[in-house]
Amino acid sequence: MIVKALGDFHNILSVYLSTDRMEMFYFINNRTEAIEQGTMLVICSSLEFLIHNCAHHIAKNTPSNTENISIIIDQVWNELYPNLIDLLATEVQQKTGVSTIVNHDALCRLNGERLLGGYPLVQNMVDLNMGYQIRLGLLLNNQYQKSLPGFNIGGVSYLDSIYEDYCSIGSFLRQYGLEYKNILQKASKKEKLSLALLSHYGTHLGELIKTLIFIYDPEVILISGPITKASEYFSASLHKTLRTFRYPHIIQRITIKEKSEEQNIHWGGALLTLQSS
Amino acid sequence: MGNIFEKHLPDQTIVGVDLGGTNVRAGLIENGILINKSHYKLPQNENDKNIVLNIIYKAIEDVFTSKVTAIGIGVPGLVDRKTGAIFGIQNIKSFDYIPLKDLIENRFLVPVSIDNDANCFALGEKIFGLGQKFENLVGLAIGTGMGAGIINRGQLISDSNCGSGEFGEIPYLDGVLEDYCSGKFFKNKIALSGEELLEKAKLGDKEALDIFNQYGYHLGKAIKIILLTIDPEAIIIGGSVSKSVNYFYDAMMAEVHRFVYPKTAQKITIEVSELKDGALFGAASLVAKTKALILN
Repeated sequence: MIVKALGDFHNILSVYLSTDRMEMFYFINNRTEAIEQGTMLVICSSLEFLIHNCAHHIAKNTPSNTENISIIIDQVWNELYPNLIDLLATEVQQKTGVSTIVNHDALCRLNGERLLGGYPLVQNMVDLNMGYQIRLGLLLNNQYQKSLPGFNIGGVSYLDSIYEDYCSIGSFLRQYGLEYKNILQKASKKEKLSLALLSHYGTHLGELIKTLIFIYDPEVILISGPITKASEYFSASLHKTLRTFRYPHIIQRITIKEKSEEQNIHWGGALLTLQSS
Repeated sequence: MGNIFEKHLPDQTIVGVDLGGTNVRAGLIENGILINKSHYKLPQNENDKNIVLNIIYKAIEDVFTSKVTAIGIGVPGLVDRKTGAIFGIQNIKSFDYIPLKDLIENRFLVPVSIDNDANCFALGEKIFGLGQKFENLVGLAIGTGMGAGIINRGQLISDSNCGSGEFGEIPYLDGVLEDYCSGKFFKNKIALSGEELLEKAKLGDKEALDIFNQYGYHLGKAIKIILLTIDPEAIIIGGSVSKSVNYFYDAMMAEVHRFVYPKTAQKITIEVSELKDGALFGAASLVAKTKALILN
């Protein structure tokens, strides 16, 4: 079993701090058990409050025999508070007495998908996380990359603006005055306008992926984030756009995965914990 | 020149080959010193690949000696890193998925390394040039086209098609960045080459100075994309257009300093390559890189 081969996932607490909730999983005997999901966090008005709030909540829910804690934070938090990673790790470690590491979500997702999704030998891989913002997780030369503001492909110029205005899920509101979740809901009922908008979205996403290939030339591109719920509606136009890529040899060989296992992010974070200890 | 050949390959003799769209150059490098060179023009729009291949063979044969232990080749296109086949080669349409590595190895009976020419430029800068003091850098080669090589943590990215850093292909305004940031911009604007425009600028020609200012603005936009997506410590600019840097530098930096993250813009080092025969050293460094990795 590949998980066992990667290490002993035992007594590891995994915490995912997204922008609106906290998820906690506990690894015992190479499988996960949910401790708590969907805990709504108060919108934090300061770095100190965010750290205190999170550390307190984690300490309260940490099982007594925990050996490692992996905290995964949405990259957006780190952009708001550049010191968050170090400060949060220190605070949680002090409160729990357990070795703690903090990583970006993109990095953990990339790590989890690479090793559990079937790409352990890949040297260059990209996680294209499509939410209200566009964020990248990058593996280059077999090394995970950590850099801010680097890898902000959403900020690259495109048409009359930037890619984020055409490819994030917020682009539907900017372009058409419609919420993504409403479009998705209507598309599931085969409403024609919503289907057309999502199909058109696939064209823009295809152009973004072409740019990604020109910059990083990866072997695997993983599309993740809320947009993947609509992949069945944009997949055809995405691939039609990719077929116009200037170098067919490259498109034929590259792997583009349009969905990821949600739990792989926890496995990726926990694996980084094992790798660092 | 203190360099990696002396450090890792004290007794090695290497041929570096710069295959361009219109010329092929080869150089014999012994202990880090270029001791012999050859140069041939390539026929344009030649459909017979063997005619082009024979010219490349001839360029190498002119400098090849029995002491040569390896050949490094930079090409203006892409390379299948697994097979050494080249494709997407500018101006040499007959070279579509040609197994160049195998062909050259079979003929000269020494190991051959091939990579994109912009990657060679970046690696050459890292090993021999201004890039020696940086671990993360982008070598931006600007001539009739625009391409870049990315050095990450001291190593060239080992991408599967040698195709990373192709910033020139990114959509921009009504075309792609290369239309505005390479010599194509001057051709389209005023039907002059970069060299011709430089001569006019040196004489104070207002139109030429204005075009270089516009060019600097667009190149600044391209550099901002590099900062956004790579975030290197340094960008080293090379290629024929870099000779005109004095005429576009201020406009370029003014745009760079409008970057959304001001601290990044303040930190970045942007320099112009000082390497003579950089393309040949860059191609040769492909071999040095491989050997150095083995020795380390």
